[in-house]
Amino acid sequence: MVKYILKRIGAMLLTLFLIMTLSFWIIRLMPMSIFENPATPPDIQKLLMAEMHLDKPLFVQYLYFIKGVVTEAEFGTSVQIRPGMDVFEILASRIPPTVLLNIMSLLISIPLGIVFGTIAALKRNKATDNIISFLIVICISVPSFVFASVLQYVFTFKIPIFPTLYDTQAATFAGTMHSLLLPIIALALGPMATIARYLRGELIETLSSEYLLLARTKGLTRTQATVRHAFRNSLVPIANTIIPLITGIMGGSLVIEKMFAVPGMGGLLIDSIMAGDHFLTVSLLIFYSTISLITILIVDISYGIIDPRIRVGGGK
Amino acid sequence: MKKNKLVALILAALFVLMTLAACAPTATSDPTDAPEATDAPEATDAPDATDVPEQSDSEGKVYRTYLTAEATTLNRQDNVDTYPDTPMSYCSSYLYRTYPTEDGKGYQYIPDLAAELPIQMDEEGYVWQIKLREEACWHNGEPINADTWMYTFRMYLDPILANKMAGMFSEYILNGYEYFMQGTSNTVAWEDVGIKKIDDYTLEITFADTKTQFSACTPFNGADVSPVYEPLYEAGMNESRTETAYGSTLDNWMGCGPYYFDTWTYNSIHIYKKNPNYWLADLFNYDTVEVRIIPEMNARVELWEQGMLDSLTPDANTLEIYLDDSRLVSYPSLSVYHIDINCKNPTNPISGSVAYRKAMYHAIDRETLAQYIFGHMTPSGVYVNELAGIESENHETYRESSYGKAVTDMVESWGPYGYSPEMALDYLKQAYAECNVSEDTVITIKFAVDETDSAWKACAEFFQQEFPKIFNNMVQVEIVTYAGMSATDFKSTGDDKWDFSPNDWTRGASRIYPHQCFYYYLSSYGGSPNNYFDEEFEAQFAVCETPEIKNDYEKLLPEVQKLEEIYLEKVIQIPVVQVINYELFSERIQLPVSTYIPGFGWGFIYGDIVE
Amino acid sequence: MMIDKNKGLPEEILNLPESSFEMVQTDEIKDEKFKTKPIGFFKDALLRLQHSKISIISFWIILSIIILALIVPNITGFTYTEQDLAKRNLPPKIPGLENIGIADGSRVLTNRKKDSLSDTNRYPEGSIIEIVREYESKGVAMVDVKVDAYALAGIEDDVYHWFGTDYLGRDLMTRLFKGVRISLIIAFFSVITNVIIGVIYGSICGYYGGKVDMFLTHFAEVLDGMPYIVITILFMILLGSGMLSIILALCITGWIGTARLIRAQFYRFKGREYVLAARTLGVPDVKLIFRHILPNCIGPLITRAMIAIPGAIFSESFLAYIGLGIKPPEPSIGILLSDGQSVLLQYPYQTLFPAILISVLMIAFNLFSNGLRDALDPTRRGEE
Repeated sequence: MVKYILKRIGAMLLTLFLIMTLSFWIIRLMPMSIFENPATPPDIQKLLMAEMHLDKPLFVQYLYFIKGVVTEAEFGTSVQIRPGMDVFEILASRIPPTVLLNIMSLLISIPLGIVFGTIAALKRNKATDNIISFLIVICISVPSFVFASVLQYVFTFKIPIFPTLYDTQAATFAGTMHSLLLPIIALALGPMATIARYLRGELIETLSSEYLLLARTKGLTRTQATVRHAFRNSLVPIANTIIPLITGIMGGSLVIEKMFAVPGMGGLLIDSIMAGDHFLTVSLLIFYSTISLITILIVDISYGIIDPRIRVGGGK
Repeated sequence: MKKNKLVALILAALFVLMTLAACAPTATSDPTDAPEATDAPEATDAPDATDVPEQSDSEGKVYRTYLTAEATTLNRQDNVDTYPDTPMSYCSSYLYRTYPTEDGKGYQYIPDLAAELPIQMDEEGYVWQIKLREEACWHNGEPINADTWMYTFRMYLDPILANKMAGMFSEYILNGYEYFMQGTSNTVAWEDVGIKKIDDYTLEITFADTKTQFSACTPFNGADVSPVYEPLYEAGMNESRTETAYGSTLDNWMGCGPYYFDTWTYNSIHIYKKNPNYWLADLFNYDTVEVRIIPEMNARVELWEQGMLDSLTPDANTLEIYLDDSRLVSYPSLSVYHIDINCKNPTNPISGSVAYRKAMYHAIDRETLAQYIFGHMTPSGVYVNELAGIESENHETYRESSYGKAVTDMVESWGPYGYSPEMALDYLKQAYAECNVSEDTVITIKFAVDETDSAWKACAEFFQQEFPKIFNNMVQVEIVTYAGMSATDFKSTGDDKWDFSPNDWTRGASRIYPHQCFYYYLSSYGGSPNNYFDEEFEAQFAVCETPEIKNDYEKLLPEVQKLEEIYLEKVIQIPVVQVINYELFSERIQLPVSTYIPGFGWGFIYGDIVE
Repeated sequence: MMIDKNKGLPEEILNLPESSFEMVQTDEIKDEKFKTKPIGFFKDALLRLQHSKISIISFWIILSIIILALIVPNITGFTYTEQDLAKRNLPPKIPGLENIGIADGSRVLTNRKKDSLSDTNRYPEGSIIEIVREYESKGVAMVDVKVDAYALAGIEDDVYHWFGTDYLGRDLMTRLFKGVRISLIIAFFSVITNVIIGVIYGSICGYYGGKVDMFLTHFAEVLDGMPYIVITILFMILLGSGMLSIILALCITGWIGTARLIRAQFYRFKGREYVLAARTLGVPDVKLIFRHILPNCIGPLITRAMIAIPGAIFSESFLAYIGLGIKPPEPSIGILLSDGQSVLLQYPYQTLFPAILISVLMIAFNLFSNGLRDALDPTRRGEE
């Protein structure tokens, strides 16, 4: 087992390294200049470039970059978004709101998705199922930014019961949540529906299996049988849907953070790409990639624990 | 086995959450930056709390405003954005601040960090002494004296640091520009620069030009000439002294203004609390100032509607709602939106022709654009803005003078604001003839516009429909969009990529010298947004720059007229609209002035809240 | 030993004449022949699809939207580029509905000075419908007034913009359906490209296995590890705006899923006996891949492509939303949505129609691909 985990971690680090390389090259080949100020004397411009190794060939710059990252966890300095500030520090200041937003929406979407999926499966082909299934499709289909703008228009403008913007100064956690609820809902609907749909499919399959029949013959009620036997088995593959969910939510929060003025990573990413702040963009790419790789790793490893057969195949 | 699965699943879920959550604390404890300000207590807990009883129980008067984007840094010396000006104006200070005159119609300079207005030391007005306020201090209580200022100016003009704002300031000071621009060559010593310490509370400034008492104050009013706090400035410096992290966070910045910078939640909100110990504290009425960062226009309008903002700058669409609103005020701006034309596009056979430029000048329906696309602005067929010259000695703007009017009359004689489809077509045919292009050639004009710039994009779409009509289908417009780079960057990707490039920013526009807005169109300016240069135009600009003309407004006006005529004759670029600013003020805010004062504005900072 | 040719039967029995035989059963055989034709996999799938009402409905919705997208821009009487700045931002006006008070081309103007209402330059005769609210602000009498926006803009009575007009006075219905057309084209082409790349890549991985597989799979994993939306944004910036760049940008990482699916299918089928048989008969690799193994993957492939279409529409509108769209003046759903978003408070209908349309389209595609997945699921063959 330990060997398997180490192997997976090794593979992940290799992937991460390749992603780092790819990010560096993609972004550095973009046609943007980092220092744009015609009023600066040329020799000072050169000095500045030399300071950041920008005067050297790209490949040498790449070596500096890799060396910095590997030996000192040094990602460089921001030049446009927050001039002079260490990129790592910028990330650190932006991560909490994004993480709060994403975790809260996962915390809402996973239980709700499970509940709705179970209800739909138990009431299969009845009105309840049809209604839930239809809502599921709507939630999956309608883009989160459409939801967000509808929610914002209705609940902050037409019926102002929620604050328009995320309130970073709220005294209590409840206050913070109150202002963050709309973006959380907008982000949670899609993942919730994905989980519900997946679970419904899994449950329906398990419910028709022999061992459940046996459980029923033992005298368990339908609900008991479902919760004790079918449910557990169906939950396991759900872990698999969580990977795309996490990356998906991160993508969705790009726009939603901007709409609700959440000072998180989403706006930062777009801003840094648009402003041509290369070091920051590269670091952000690496950050997002690391998150999704870690998620994949965790799910892989937990699979390995659950089902040794999968280990042999190496996750594929 | 099943239990295992569940446990594993829960573990997995926890692990995900923990790794996500763990990012935050581990990251914040990163020691790379944030110098330990051991000798400087935190700015926020500086007040002695003897005479501030109201802070604890109620918030008092709160002024609520917003910024459309966050200040990237509080080091205004090295930042060209205007966003840091808001926090700087409240939490930092200058030698001289502007304040409305008694009648509320003009403004004057009053000493702030200085003790009194500058004292003239020579007959011509080159040398001035500035007495410093002895009680002036940082928010941590340390004094601000001549040494602080010597350090501030030395760093500001440091040739290696190459602060982005220093170019402008350096030109005021004797040898300042030479010192700043020397690069690594070491030809000008700091001792030769016209800033001297006389004693602990006296500075002596030698200007490059002669000054009046009023104009001697001007260079020392502005966020870029706020004092910098030496220990933190030095702590943020990198090894080769090319950059400092000063001002990137509140931990490495020190204020000295009428308000404490209490909270800075990046990209979300600034909170400033009144500094009761401030020497001019009586001038400031708000107890708290809240500045939200709101990038979305809709969100701003919603907050305004809910009464949570005290002012709002409406965009063209929002303006429609408030047109009749008594809370709406308007005033002209220094900006004239214009379009730069590429004269070297290899794919456009007539791009080098002046007749082509004239054709384009006459093809623009400025009235329609100003009214509908840019939203209630003033169409303008000329480039010198409506405010230019208002701060000259006789307070007459160039546009209102007979010289400026002569030019506008000439423009009107062509058509409304220069728009004349017939002339446009004639000039185009002339351009075709000049360049030996057959009449059935279709010219495609590439209108290069930033993806996110919706007004200019709409304008380009409008041209797309209009140009083929005006030019009998001889001209069509292609819209080329770019993102993630500045217009300058985009243009540098190749001369064949663009023909038109819109420009919102009237750089160098001055309220004193009408001709100065043309400075950026000279070949001597390296970063010129244009690639068309005209000798006659440059010679005329040089005439305007000669001291005896520049400093005599009456002599300057006719020269500017000549300059503007050459500008129109050669169509250096195409002016489109004179920007009008609109502003909404809530009813609870009382401003110190009754009308907009050019150069001073509305004086929000001295406003009061009346419930 | 001699072989007994007659298996021990007497000679006379062997030589019996045919006439001495008689049919025992003269009527027809009870074991009937199949009257129906044999049903193939796809026919079966089609049958099952036809039995799913939701799939049928969503199929018709998709089809009608496609047909509308083809027809509407040509019959509204407006073109998608035709501008008239005098009639910009008009609200919807639909013949028939206007009489019952919906979509009658009216809108409420807020914060107007009461005495300005009598100014016929600003408010031509007949343009004011009713005063909604009267109040006073700083001593000035103010009103919110409901006006006929069409009369206000000086347009004849018989002009109808069903979905209203945009900031340049272009007809929104024309633009919306033109936009649907473009969004669908982008979606179809990017999906087709993704499928082609994915199939080739996945086949190579799955068929050859070993080092080739390891290398290629790892490369795909690296690409997949990067957040796709960021990569797409970067490529859009690099390529500049335009339809082709969007399609290309959507293809950067879009094919990975397909490739993975195909690879898995190959691993399942390449060891089967019939493949081994074909291989021993000397069938070349290419033929093995495309003739013998790939057809097994068609079901899941179609489902996947179908699911990818709404995904591509979403990505396109997302890109447009953050400002990286196709070149103006071409519309797309995303462009219309983001244009509408900027005037959401003033002219909500400009967001409403594109939002409804993209939602309906996405729902229909999702439901249809659900049905398709169920129908093409081989384990459910023969189920009704």
